[in-house]
Amino acid sequence: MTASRIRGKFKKKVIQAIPVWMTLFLVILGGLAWLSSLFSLKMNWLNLILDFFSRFTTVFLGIFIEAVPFLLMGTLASGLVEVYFRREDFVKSIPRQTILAVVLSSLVGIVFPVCECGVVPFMRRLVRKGLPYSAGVAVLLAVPVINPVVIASTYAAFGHGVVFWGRIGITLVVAIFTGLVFSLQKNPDWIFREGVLAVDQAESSPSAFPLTTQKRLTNALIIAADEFVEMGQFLVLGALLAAGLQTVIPQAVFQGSLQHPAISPIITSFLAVLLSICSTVDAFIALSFTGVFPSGSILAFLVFGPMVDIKSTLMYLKVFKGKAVFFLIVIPLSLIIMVSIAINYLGWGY
Amino acid sequence: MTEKAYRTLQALTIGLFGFFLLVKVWDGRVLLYINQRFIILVLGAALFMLLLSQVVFGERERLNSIKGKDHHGIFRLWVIALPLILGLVIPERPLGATALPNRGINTSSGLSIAQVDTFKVLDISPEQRSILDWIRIFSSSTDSQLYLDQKVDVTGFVYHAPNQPEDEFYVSRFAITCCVADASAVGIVVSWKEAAALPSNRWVRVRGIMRALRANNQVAPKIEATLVEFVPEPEQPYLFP
Repeated sequence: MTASRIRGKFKKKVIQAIPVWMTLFLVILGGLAWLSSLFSLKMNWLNLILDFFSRFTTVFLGIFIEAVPFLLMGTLASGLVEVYFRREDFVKSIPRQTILAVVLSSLVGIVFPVCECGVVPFMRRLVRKGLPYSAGVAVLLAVPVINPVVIASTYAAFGHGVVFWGRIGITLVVAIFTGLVFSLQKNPDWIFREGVLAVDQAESSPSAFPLTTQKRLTNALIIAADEFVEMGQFLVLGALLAAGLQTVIPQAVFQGSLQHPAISPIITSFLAVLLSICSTVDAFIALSFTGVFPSGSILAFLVFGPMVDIKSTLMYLKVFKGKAVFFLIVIPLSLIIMVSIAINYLGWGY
Repeated sequence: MTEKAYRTLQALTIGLFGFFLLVKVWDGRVLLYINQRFIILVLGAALFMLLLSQVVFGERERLNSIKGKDHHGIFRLWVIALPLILGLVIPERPLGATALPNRGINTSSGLSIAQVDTFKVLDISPEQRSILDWIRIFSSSTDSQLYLDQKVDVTGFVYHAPNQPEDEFYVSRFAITCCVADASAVGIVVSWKEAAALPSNRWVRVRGIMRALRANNQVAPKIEATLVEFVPEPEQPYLFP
């Protein structure tokens, strides 16, 4: 046995041991909490640790519980696409011109209201069905905002002003532009991780198209259950990270330069990543920022947040290669910050 | 692990998750995590998960024959189960005064720009208004005759800000727009001669008269307390704007 193989085996062992040790640690912590409440112990260090963990758990479960319904909707949409669209028919329905395909793809959300927690499995399914990669990128970036649920919640929060139309407009421009940039790269292996595009034999064969509605729905539900586990693990990791950062970093760090027209969009973009809030509800959060941030910075929060945050980045990494994810983050970020700074200097209202 | 064993565990994990959410909705403790307007979504998700679990379990024999397209591992099921484990093991505690230094306290902005809300809030009789209602009134209404010197009766937890005078404290609560990740503390300054003796994070009911606190061109509410008494933590510790 070579050294590297032994090391590989050791690594595998360590990874396998993580769940056991962490579960054990949590159970011990829970037991200590129970004991300390039972005997009302006055151990400061223990109370500090318990307080930290319960704050952390509360924020983590908050993010997760709120995102779960939307992740399920995304996986269900993906399952339904799988059983109701035949690959050949689907490919035929896509326009030949790249630009038209990209523009149309950015509007898919109007029919399939999927937010950013569910858009990655949804997009992957469409690309497996034959959607061009550039159009897939447009789906990924636009659908979490350009859908009835998010449009309605943004309208409810802001009315039809600069923020409402700006959110829709900037999202479309950024999604279409980024999609077109990706259309320059013809090699799918550069963009996607191995195996992502592999069409399962069982899926593409005609027998996978059972005619009875019940069979179709059962298959859709099983796909949804599988993708829930597959994508859900990144939602969990993302929510853990976001909750950890929130519990550790004081929000006062951001105060001071909040009003600066050029710095505040960067802060709100970072805040959007840090908070990792679902796009269907982030308009209400942004509402509490009005008065603190100028409108361009609020737009940066509302446009960049749905495209990139901690949990969606982890899901991107599952599907895309690292360098592709880098461009998926940097292109939208730089575009959005430029537009936001311009709006701030113009001094538009909300 | 065999495909069948994986399927059984998958069905079990998703099913337990659905059950966990269902119980949280049933006893109302889901409100420790999210705003009430999302309850229906969580309930739907819980029922949908139970359905998924049942379908996966029912089909585990059939799926056994199809070669799985992905690498099935127990690790990812554990990751999915983490929220369950954390939720069951770590005692749930709503955010309190210990979370405040990290999140800051909001004394003037009303968490909403909609003017309609203000008129609704003004319709509430003064002694029924919450901390959030008062802050909203102060931040959006310019006519101080409408609310100054009215009677106040609010409940919240005690928070002592650094550098606060000895005869003052904040009566505060967390307001949740969507989920606790966006929790922001709202607080009103209370002047009370024994303020320093009040332990931080204890829940109190404060009665008194509403006065104004002027600083930096902003008017914030300030309660001149006539009575401060300890109360148990309310069943719903958060406010939902």
